[in-house]
Order: sequence, then structure tokens, then C-alpha cells
Amino acid sequence: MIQDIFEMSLKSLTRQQIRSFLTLAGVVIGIAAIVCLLSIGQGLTNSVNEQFEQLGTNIVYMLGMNPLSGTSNTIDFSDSDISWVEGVSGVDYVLPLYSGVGTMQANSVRKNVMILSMDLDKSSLFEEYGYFDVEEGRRIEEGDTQGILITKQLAEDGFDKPLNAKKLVTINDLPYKIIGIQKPLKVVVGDYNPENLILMSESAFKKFSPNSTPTYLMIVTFSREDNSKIADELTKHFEDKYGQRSIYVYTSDQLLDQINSIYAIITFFLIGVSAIAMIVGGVGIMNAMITSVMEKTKEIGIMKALGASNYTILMIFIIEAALIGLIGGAMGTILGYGLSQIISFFVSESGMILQGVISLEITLIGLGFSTIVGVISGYLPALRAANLDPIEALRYE
Amino acid sequence: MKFDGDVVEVSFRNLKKEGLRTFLTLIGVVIGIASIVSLLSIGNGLTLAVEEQFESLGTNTIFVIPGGGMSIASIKLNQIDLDTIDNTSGVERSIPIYSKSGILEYNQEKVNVSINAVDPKKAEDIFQSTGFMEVTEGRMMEKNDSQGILIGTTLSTDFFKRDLSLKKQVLINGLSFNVVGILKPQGTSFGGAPNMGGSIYMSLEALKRLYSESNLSPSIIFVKTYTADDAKYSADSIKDYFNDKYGEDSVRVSSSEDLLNQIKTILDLLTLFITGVGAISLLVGGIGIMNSMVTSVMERTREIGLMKALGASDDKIKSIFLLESALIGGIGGIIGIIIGYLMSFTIAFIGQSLGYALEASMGIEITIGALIFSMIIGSLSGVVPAINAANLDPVVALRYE
Amino acid sequence: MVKEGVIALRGVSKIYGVGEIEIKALDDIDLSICAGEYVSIMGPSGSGKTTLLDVITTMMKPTKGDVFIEGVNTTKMSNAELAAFRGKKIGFIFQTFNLLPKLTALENVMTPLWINNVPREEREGIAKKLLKEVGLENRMNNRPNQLSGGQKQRVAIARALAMDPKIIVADEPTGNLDSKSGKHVMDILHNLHKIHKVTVIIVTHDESIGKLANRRVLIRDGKIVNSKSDNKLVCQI
Repeated sequence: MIQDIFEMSLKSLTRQQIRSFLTLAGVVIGIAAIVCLLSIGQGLTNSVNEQFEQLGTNIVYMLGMNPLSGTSNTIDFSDSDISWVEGVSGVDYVLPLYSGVGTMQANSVRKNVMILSMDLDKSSLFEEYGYFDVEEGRRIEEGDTQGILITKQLAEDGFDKPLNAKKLVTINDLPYKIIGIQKPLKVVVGDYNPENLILMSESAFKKFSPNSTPTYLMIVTFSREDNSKIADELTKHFEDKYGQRSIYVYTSDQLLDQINSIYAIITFFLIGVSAIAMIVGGVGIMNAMITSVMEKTKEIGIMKALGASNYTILMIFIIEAALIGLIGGAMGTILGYGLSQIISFFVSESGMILQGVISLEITLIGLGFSTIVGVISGYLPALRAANLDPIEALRYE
Repeated sequence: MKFDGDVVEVSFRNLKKEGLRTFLTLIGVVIGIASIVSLLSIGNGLTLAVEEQFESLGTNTIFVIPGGGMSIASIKLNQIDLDTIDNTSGVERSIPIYSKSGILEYNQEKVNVSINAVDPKKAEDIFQSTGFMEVTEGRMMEKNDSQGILIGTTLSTDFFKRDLSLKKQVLINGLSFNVVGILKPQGTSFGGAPNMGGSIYMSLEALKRLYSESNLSPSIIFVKTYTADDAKYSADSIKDYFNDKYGEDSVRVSSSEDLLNQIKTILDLLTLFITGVGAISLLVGGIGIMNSMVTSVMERTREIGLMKALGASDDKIKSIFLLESALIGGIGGIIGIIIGYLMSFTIAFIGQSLGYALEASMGIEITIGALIFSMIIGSLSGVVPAINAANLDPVVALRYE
Repeated sequence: MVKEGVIALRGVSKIYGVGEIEIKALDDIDLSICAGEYVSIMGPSGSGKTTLLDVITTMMKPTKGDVFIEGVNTTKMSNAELAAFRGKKIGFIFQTFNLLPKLTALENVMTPLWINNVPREEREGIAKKLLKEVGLENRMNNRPNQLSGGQKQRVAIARALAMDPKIIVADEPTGNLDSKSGKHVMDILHNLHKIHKVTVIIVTHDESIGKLANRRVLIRDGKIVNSKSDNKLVCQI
């Protein structure tokens, strides 16, 4: 019986071409938007998560300031602070990061630059990001107390003439030699070409700015599970020493969660807006079904005369509506995936890593949602059809 | 085509006859227009709110930020630099703002606070008039006030076990100070970050007790020029000075207009994007109109044949159907605009009561734009069915089963 | 032996309106029709013959009284039960044919079969056989708009016979046909009655059609007006 009802509904749809097409179009557009957004949203999340997995998840970050406090002032970590951290159980090693500014002069042009420095014997973590990898010249080492790496952008556009490796420059009137040109860095969202960035070894920085202390501590742990325990211990110790909210400790997991939740919120919001389009599509289905019922009034009467129950009639129209939803959903899902792939392609061309995801869950969501909308939209018209008085229906003109 | 009153009458009547169907088709348009209008309204509202904030600061303002404000490290300015800024042609006065952190101890509890210090004489009237610092209890700081601090309401009531109220004594980095005033909390401060309770304010003299002068360098310099025109010129001069002395990109100099434009551009882009997504629903609504019109034409085939037999021209038939679909678009548009505004104001209201700075705005451009847009969508959707109707062969049409 | 008719109406009334503005379409009708009878129901326009037809075929429930079909009191049945019952027991033929316009002749005949849950494998065979019997095996895949009036009515007859009902009810079956097709249709009905012993009931206002039946029931103003003996008719087994 169900199969017969199914066949009837299908026939009815295919023979009513233009109208079915337009009703379908509405559903297709709505679902395509939702599927496309879901696909891209999932793709973004995946990129972020993948990159994080690659870079190491057993890291705890400690910033000597609290971003929430509104100032850019930092605590000065002493050597004893650092030793204490290294002594915490579960900690593999600590990589302090130093930063500063200086005025770099090459030829006769002066430019303000930012300087980033760390112990190059322990910097393997950063090398995953692409730091210290050169396209010209050679890498710097701890022994290079007067050697610097400059970024490609600084080399090409920063000064009046492009700078090459081996060039002599000054920073804050101290002499330095450009040992190499840094390749563009790989950050989560793609290629990152920071302007005005200079890299030097820890020993070089200590000579450049003798009294400065690290801004940032990267703490590498032995295992990911220990991260939050270690983070808590660090927080307690340093807050006791320097006061509440003096430092900011976070684990790589927390960072990942934050990024993911931001993406999730944005995606949900956009989907919410495009879900509105789906609702309009549903209204379209209801409209089409009402017309369908009205046109078929006599036929409904005939079928009731032939022995069809109210329930049978109800199912015929609900299934017709559900079919519109399902078929529209299928076409919309395919279109949505197509769009997401096209968008992924163009985005990837511009450097950012994005791959729209095609997954079972997204497909089911797309199909399921559209079918449900179809059924809900078709319910009332179907009910009307089912309750038609057979005699009146038969005599309808 | 001349305006034909009969056509209008017939179109209206037809729409009324097919009540339920017209109603549902209308809903599609209403939803589409309502979403677009409400999104645009909120987007616009936010932009206007930001503009207002900037206006209260005045268009003759420049912000000088050493290091651009984004990086963790920035250059240190000395007194010569500050005097140079102050003496730049066009500058009425400049107010350096110093930011440091310290450990505040009260009743044996410690909390890390950020300390903002200015020269009170220079700053007072400006900050008061912009609402940036409004004292609810106590008083503003005075020039030689090396003991007094101002704290925010949150710090006063939420941070310690016992309220930190007026006249209470505290230790900052071991030195004693007392609370002379409590500030009103601010919704949004310019720059966007809400005012956290963990900030305190003191005079420059007071700050010098905590940090030696050589250690002090302003994190931002707020510059007021005589006129808006001066702002641009002075900004350039200041920038040149710093480029020469410390190198390019050592400071960021923006007029409030620059900042405003940057923020506006981002907001506009966001609004456009989201509205674009919202427009998808209008597209679907338009398809709904087309569907409705196609059905309508089919159902009235005989009627059309009859009208033609009675002398109606093809053009007249076409205009009847075109007008019908345009009417659906227009009426749906009007209702949608009303609902859209209602929604946006409701959302803004809810947002504000939750503490977010949400505003909705009603604009002529949005209203008229949406109305015209909805009528265009309506007409476009009806073009093909209308042409089909116009081209029906009257003989065939009359026999239609 | 005395037996109730295959169709029996007892005290059936159909009343519209309330209080003073009552209209009695059917007024306290008793009627028995025996198995295998060929009955015509006739009356002027407004006499209630259409209403009587609707009640006999269970499409309409009477306001008062009971309707028995093959001994079963249909007035007590739920709508769902009625639909199933009707589908199996009664075949319909309408003046305006009432074929489903988007289905082929074959599909039209198969419609009552799937509605009444006849197993899938058997349906096509039954339908084809029926269409052959009415002489339309060459028109099986045509749609109604490709058939003449007479052909459409013949498809309708084939459909009416699909569930092998004992009762066929025809409402002005030749009303939309030319005389030749009309005669052809009446011949088929006649054979049904004579050879297959089906109870045939025809509602008509056309004298020439009405007189072809074995028994005529006349109705006027909601009441049956001819021979009293019909009301207590005794049926043979």
C-alpha cells in the first residue's frame, strides 16, 4: 500500500512539471545555502584542528600579563621563576620568548622594527611554524650574537632598496649583519608574512637589551593529559607571587576550544539566517500543496468512492510534500557541496587552507531537514484533503 | 503604457479571490523582506552608535599610539617627544596617558590592577565631557594629588571580600594610597573594549611614586587640535617627526576620522555579507511568487480566453498579471518592512538589557530601498507567466479543460 | 425461503436544516433490492433520487434509519470501515466518467485494486482482462484525454468491476454519450446482470433507459411512490 501511495505521489509530481520545478527550486536554494555553510564551517574547524594536532598538543602557554586587564604591561619573569617552572612535575622543558622594539637603519632609511628572540637550541617547536627557515643566506644559531634574520617583506619593501643576506645594518645604532631572509611563515589560516619582524638568538638579544626579561613562556610538557594540571599549578604559584590576574596561562586545548567555539557561533548564526530561507521554501511547499489538493478535489472524491480511506488520502498528500522536500533536499545538498568546493578552491588559491567537508552527517542534516519541512508544510493541506466530504468532492466543479 | 485604473481594480480583485494562496505567497515575501530589513537595521544602528561615540570625542582629535598598539613591545617616548607633539602647529593640547600595572593590596587581599595615569589639569574637562570618566562618588583627581586614586565600580564592589569604598586606604606595590573617587561603569568605551573594573586612575605625580620617571612612557597620546582641518595636517607633522627620529612605523597616528572609517568599513562589510545571506530567503520568496503566478495563469486560462474574445489586448492581459505579481511584492514588502523594524528594535532591546551594545535604526534608505526591491522582485517573478498569459490563443484558451 | 435483500433501507430519512426550515430530501424510506435484480431509480429533478443513490452507496449517512448491504448494517460503521467495505462491495459508474485524468486506462482500472490491497502481482492481469472484456485492450495505455466518451465510460465500467463487486450503481451512465455509445454501454450493463448475476442499479431521468430495467422504483419529494409490494419484497436465495 505504501509503495502504491509512493508511486502515486511521484507520478503526480512528475506530471506537474513547471509548478513542481518552482516549488523544488525554493527548497533547493534553501538547503544549498545550509549545506554549503555547514560544509565550509566544518572545513574551517578541521583545518584549525589539524594544524593544532600537527604543531603539538602538549604545550602550555604562559603570558606575563593578563589580556583582560587592559594594559600592555608585563610581569618580568626572573631566572628563578623559569627554573621553578622547569622543576614542575610533567614539564619537559621551557622555552622563553623575548620581544622588543628597535630602530633599524639600512642605508639611510630608519624603520621601527619588532624583535623576536629565543634560545635557538630549543626552538624546534617554532620551526614547525616555519620560523628560522630561510630562502636566502643561512639559518642563525646561538653563536650568532650579531646576526639577524629578517622577514621577506621587510627585505623587499621595508627600505628604499631591497636588502640581501650579508648586508650590514644597525639596530638602535648597534651593528648587525643580516644572515638570512625568513621564508613566509605558516600559521593556522595560511601563509603569514609579518612586516617588520626580526629574529635573533637569545644570546644576541641579551646583548641587545641586557636587562630585559621574557614576555612569554612556552612550556612543553611530556604528555597532553598533564596540561591542565600543570596550568593550574603555574597559575597558583604565580598568582601567589605576583597577584591575581597577573599572568595568563592557557593550554593548547583551551586555545583550540576557543577558536572552535568562535567558528561554531559564526556558523550557527549564518545557518540560522539561511534557515529562514528554508522556512520560506516550506511556505512555498504548503502553497503548492494547497493548490494541488484543490485541483485534485474531484479525484479525491473518486478515490474515496473506490474505497480509499481518509488515512490513505492523507498519506498520499503528505508523501507528495515529503517527496518535494526530499528531492529538493537531495538536489540542494549536491548544489551546496558543489558551491562549497568552488569556494574552497578559490580560497585555497589565495593562500588560506580550506577544504569544504563532504560528510554523512551534513548530508543527513540537509536531507532530513528538507524532508521534515516538507512533511510539516504539507500536513495541513493533506488533512484538508483527507477530510473532504466525498460527495461534495465528487461533484466539485 | 498608460496607467489603467481598471487593470489595478481587476488585479486587486483577483488577488483577493485567491485568498489563501495569495496569503501564503505574501508570507514568503514578508519573511524575506523582514529578515533583510532587520539585519540592515541592526547593522546600520551599530554603525551609527559607533559614529556617535566618535563624535562626542570631536573630529578634531588625533590618537598617537607608539608601536601601533598591536605588538607586545613598543618604543619609549621621552619628554622631548611629548613636547614636540604638544608644540606641533595646530595642536591645542596633548594628553599623554600612561599605563602600568601594579599589585593592589586591600585588607590583605592582593589583586593585579592596571594603572592609568594622566596629568589631571590637562585631562579633566575633556574626559568629563565625553563621558569617558564620570565620577559617581567622591571627586576627580587633582594635579598635586599624589595619594589619591580613582577606582571603577566593579573594583569597588566585586573584587574584595569587603567593599573598597571612599577614603579607604590601599597599598600599591607596597606604597599607600587612598580612594578619592569612584567612577561610573561604562557600556562601551571608545576603542570598543568595555571598561573592566580592574583599572585604577591616578595623577601622573602619583604614578611617579611607583615608577621612576625614566621608566615611564605613555601608551597612548590623545591630541586635540583647534579644528578638524588641523587634525589632518598635525597628524602628518607628528608622523614625520617620529619617522625621522625612530624610524618608519614607530608610532601609529590616526585621526578619529581614520579610526572611525576603519571601523565603519568592517561593520559595513559584515552587514552586507549577512544581509546577503538573508537575501537568499527573499530569492526563495520570489520563486514562490512565480509559482503562484504560473498556477494563477493556468487556472484562469478560460477567463483569459474570454477576456480576449471580449476585446482585451495582449498588453492589457500582460499588465494585469504583471501588476498582480508586483502588488504581491509591494504589499509583502510593506508588511515585511514593518515586521522587520519591529524585530530589529526588539532584538536591540533584548541585547541592550543583556549588556551588549546593540542598536537598531530606521532609515529612509532602508525603507524605500526594501520597498522598491520587493516590487522589483515581484514584477520580475511575474514576467514569464504574464507573457505566457498574454500569448495564449483565445480559441484554445476558451476550450481549456 | 425469505431473505433480506442484498440492499435494504429501513426507515431512512435525510433531513437538512433545523427546526422550521427543515428539508426532507428522503422521507422515511423502506426499500429492498434483491440480489441479481436490475433496478432503475427514476424521478423528476429535485425528487431526491441523487440523495437516495448517495445513501444506497454509503457515500452519505442517513439522518435516521439503517442501511443494510449484504446483511451488514453500514450505518453503524466508522468511516474507515465503510471505505474498505464500499471498495469491495460496490462498483460506481458516473455520468461524467470520473476517470483519474493523469493515469492511463490500465492504471485507472488498477486504482481500486491497490486501494483495496489486492496483491501486486495479480493487479495487472485482472485489469487487462477487464479491459479486454469491454473491448479496449488496444487502448490500455491511453489517457482519458485520448479517449472518446464511449471509450471512457467503458474504462469506467472495467474499473467498477475490478473488485468483483456484487452491486453496480450507475448514475446517468449514458448522459454524456451519443446514442450509439449509449446503447453499447447499456448492453454491457445488461450482460453483467444477465450473465454474471450482478445487481445493477441505475439512476436516471431518461424514460428510454429506465424502462430497460426489470423493476422501476419511482421517487418523488423524497418518498417512494410506486407499488407497495416492493417495500416488503421477498427475495429468493
